[in-house]
Amino acid sequence: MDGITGAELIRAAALLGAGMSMGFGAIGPGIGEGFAAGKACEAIGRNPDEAGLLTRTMLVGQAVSESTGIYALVVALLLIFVVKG
Amino acid sequence: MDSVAVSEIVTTLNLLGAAIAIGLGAIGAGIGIGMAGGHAVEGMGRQPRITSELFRTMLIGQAAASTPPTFALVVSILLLFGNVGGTTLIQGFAALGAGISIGAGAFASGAGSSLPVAWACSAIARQPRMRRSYMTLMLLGQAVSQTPVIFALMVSFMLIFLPAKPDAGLVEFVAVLSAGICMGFGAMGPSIGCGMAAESAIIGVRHHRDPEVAVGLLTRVMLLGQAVAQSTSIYALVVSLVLIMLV
Repeated sequence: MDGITGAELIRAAALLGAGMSMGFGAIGPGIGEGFAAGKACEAIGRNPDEAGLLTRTMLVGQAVSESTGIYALVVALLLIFVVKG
Repeated sequence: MDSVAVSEIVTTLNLLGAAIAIGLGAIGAGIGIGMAGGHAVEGMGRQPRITSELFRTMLIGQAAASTPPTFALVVSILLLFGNVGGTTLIQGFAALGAGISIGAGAFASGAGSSLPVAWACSAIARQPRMRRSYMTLMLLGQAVSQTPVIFALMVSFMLIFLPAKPDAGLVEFVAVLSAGICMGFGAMGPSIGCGMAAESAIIGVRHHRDPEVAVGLLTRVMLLGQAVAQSTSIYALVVSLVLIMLV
């Protein structure tokens, strides 16, 4: 293998960044959405008459929490397909 | 020092991957399974009459929760003794990526899938007649919580059995390593989140004024919430597969 060119270095850094972006970016939404689902289950257990309202609220909260996961996905795909060394 | 042979570097990377796989992978399940045992013992103290029921629930739950570290052990042994990958440099980096992928994935999945076991034992000690429903809810929650580690195992195997590529350079080396990091850490959040959802579903059933009615309703809500939480692990899988395909 000959020496590494600058373009190769940039491309390699972009791919490493893509993996780290999606990998670490998935931790927060995953835990947060599971937490929201769990709290909704607890609340429905205590107050079953409001099950419909609580499920809807849970889904809205999870959708907001999901947005950061989608940002991570977008950044990862940009790093893979748009950044060229 | 003389120059290091490529095969020596590849062996080093394989050994490092093996160590990371089982080293990280055993942490979560070790802590979680111990906590499940603690809750079971607490329950036995509260209700000595149903000791054998609690013991059975604890053992079944603990057996299911030790699946992720078993996957990590399999990958670790493959990397240690298998020599299944090749001896080119890219296969060495792929082996390290495989170790990180299953190590981080099994770490979180072991912890996440132990959470429902602990609370199922507590709940059965308070409401012994509902033990079948709690057991079902526990096993269902554990199964969903272990989906990300199965993705991680898949990515690990794809990396271990990566074909040799003669003209691979720095970009390809980093791409396979990055695929492992992406899937491994991406599996962490959804596993722990789904475990938390299953744990709280069991607590919800316990607090419901009519637990038999609550089981069906809360199983549906739990599965809906877990399905949304799983989506991020699927994003990680997609990015990881794209990185492997790029090579």
